[in-house]
Amino acid sequence: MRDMNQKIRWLILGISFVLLVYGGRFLSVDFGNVKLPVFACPYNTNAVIEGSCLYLTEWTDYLLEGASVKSLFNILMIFGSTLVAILLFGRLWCGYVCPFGFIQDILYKIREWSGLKKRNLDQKMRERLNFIKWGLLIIFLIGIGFCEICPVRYVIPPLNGIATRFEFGLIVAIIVLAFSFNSERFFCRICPLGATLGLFQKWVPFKITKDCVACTECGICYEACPMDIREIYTEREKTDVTCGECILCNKCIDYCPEKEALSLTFFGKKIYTSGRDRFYKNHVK
Amino acid sequence: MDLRKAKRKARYDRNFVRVSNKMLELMKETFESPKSFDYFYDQMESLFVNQKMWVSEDQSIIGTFCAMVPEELITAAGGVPVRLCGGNYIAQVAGDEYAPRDSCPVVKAVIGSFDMNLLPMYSSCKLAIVPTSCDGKKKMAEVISNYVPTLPLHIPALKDEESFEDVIPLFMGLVPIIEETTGNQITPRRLKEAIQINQEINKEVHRLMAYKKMKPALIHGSLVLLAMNTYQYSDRSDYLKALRNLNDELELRKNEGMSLSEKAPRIMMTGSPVVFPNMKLPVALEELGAVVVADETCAGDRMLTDPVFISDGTLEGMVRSLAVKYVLPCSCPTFAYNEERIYRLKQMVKDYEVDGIIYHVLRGCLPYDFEVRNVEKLSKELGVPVLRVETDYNTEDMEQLKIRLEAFTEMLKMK
Repeated sequence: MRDMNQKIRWLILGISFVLLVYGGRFLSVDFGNVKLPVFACPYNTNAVIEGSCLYLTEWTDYLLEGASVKSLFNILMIFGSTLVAILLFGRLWCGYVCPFGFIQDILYKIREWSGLKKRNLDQKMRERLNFIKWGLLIIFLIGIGFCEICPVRYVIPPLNGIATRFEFGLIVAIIVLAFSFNSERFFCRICPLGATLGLFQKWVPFKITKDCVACTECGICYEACPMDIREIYTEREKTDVTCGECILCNKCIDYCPEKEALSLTFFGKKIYTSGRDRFYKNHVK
Repeated sequence: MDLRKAKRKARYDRNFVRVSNKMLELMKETFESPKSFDYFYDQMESLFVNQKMWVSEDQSIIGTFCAMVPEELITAAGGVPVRLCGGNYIAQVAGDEYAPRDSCPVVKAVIGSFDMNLLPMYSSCKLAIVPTSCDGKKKMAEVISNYVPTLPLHIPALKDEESFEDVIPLFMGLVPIIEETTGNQITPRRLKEAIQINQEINKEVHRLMAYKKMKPALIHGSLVLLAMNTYQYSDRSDYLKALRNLNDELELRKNEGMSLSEKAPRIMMTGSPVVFPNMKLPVALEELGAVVVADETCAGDRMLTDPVFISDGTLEGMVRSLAVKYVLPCSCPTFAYNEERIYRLKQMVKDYEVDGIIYHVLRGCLPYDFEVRNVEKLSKELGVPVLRVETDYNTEDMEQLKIRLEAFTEMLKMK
């Protein structure tokens, strides 16, 4: 099947979107204190599982609660489940599950169908956006409360008919959605939750590895990458080319035309690898 | 043309045809080829011997050089792109008058072909797009601008981000010029179709290369090289069909167990381009019993193996994809840093199970000559012997070449 990995990715993203945004309406499961490291906005009361985003950024609230056994148990469950989820899948959460990622992908697809030009962000812009990302990460983790400027709060709850108080986040949401039209997954480049996930990337079993001899530096992986990670194509020595910014969408592997030049590995074992046959299947009649 | 020049031209024409014909006859005698290979022999004979063009008079011919010009733009505008790099010794002699003694035979052959109009496409060509790859090409552009409107294409010598981003407006600048020359507009749909047909040809070429990768190989490298050369001189759809037929016939041969000798040493040919009719190097090697399984020259396999990835379907997006394809994986030594060529050679030695490397240097080709050191280092690292062979288009030194090549192939056979 053509483009099988991307079709699977859209399917999983779609199912996650329905469950995490609308799931509460038709499922009566309660996942309690288990939280997922994606932007399943807790202001949206219809989420089947809530995202860890609010709990991570509002962690100072727990200091006020006191050290009762119940509250300690809650904290352990919330942060523990988040940590386990991160260490198991890393930024696969970003690439395959996050509902806000899905919304951005839809906007970008609309641009593709409408025939508008894509905006290519260069490496200087990538550095600037990274700078903004670290700034947002500090705000996120310091405990001030990211929810006031979070754009997701003004996108996902309203999709469910839930309105929240006007904060600066609405303006951020408008800006981010506008940019997401021309630049794929624009918010993911400044996402503090993604940055948090990226900090743990070294310990995640899923990695993207490269065979530097098979690579012809054709640059196709860089053209395909939504996060503009140029090192994937220029790297000539290291085998592990996963970096903290990679959302593990695996588009680089889908479109790499050289045999086994890029692979997705799980605990060092290759579970998905590139090849010329797949390139032709995806691009040539 | 005055009377003396006309007499000289008659002589050049005669000898040009003689040299081309001689090489075709030699190949037909030496190699047993599949029936479907006749298409390629016929196309080359029709142009080089009978001086008949494969396109009609009213189609705009736009000349290109090297492997860096985005010819899909030309095809999308209804034009006919033809790579004008010459390979005939007589053209080289004709060009001797206008080019320095030490310049490479490709450049001399181009100038000679334009001056003496040795093939019909040189006089009917409406525009020549010359990438400023090497010094020879740069000055050749100036010389041939006396015969045809010339457009130098300044491909940068570095592939870092800043230099590469300059290539995109450069390629976009080609669009109005090509549109004006052909009189047709380049629409996104036409460009997509042009890219598609080249991708299909790319896919068939890969299939063909797979038959060379097999141990033992299924087809001689000289024949494949001739087929690659024919790409420039045929209609794209006809060429695609011919390649498919050839591949299908080779598949039948594979199933029947027909193949070349198992004991034949497997050679990789790399270096300066081998352009018809200057096929003496691979033909000599294969006459001596080796098989040229791998080919990293720009007029051979490498011309048609880099794919195009379209991430943005607008005109500018597709031009960007073409820029990515034509510049980034190009392992031409005219780029200042060309490490990727060594990696490509290393991977090819592994994929094709190469026994020996022949490094072809055309007399006067400095960029390729510079990189001999790197390939010698690689050869030592991999334990695969390499032989540097320097020659020009002269047809009389084939026996001398063969003495050296014979020693090399004998050494490989004994290993």
